[in-house]
Amino acid sequence: MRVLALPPLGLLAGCAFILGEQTKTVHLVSNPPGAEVAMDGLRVGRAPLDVGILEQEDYDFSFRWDGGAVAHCRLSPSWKPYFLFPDILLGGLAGIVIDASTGYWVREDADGCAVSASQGVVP
Amino acid sequence: MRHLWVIVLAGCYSTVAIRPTEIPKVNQMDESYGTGAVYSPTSNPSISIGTVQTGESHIDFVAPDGSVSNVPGYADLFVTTRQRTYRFRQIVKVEDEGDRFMIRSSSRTGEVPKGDIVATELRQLNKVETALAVAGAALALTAPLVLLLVAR
Repeated sequence: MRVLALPPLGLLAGCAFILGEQTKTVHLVSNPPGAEVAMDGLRVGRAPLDVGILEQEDYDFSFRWDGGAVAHCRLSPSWKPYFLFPDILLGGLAGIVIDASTGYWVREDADGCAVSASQGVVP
Repeated sequence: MRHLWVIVLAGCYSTVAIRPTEIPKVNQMDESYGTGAVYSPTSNPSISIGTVQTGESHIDFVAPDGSVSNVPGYADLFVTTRQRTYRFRQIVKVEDEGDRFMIRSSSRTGEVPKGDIVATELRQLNKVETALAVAGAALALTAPLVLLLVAR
């Protein structure tokens, strides 16, 4: 019975992976407004604006004002330990290994970037 | 370890190379869902009411070699420029702005100059194969523990 119960648990391994990629909308603000925004080198539009991102990826935003000033903002995901509990509970070792190796334990915390032409990146 | 899973999951994606001029066709991609009966073929079969897919688009895309591939439903768009490859996660919407495409998606937005595009691909996750691959790999990882318990 003990042996029969284990393989189905393996099927549930990797909760974060199976629950998968998460997207969110981030708000990009410049002071003064109207800076040209580029996302990883691709022009997006003029701030303020909203863009969708994948929570597991890094993004570089550059803000360029008409006067020539430039500011940068980087969004990077951080580790989220709350996926550890369901992984241990449902997936055991397999779940932990899958999610740790695929990087699905990470999520983006920030809701956007606010930058100033005179002060650089504003936290 | 990450590379192991890339290998495991590599076969779970369907990838279609398309001509850059075909990019605006992604606007025609569509999937529709509604409420319907869901059959669960377990040891105690049951029918419940849930969300089911009721339809999807079938768009023909021309590959760089001239062949035609029919792509059902939504797909991620991968655009490779001289600088890097950008992934636009489904759902993708494209505006043709003359010398550039304005591409919007749930994972990124950006203007891509047409002259910078080196390659373009559509990629879809095969849900059934992926589930089987993950389950199989998970079982492979779990098996040593099972054997250990049996041996004890």
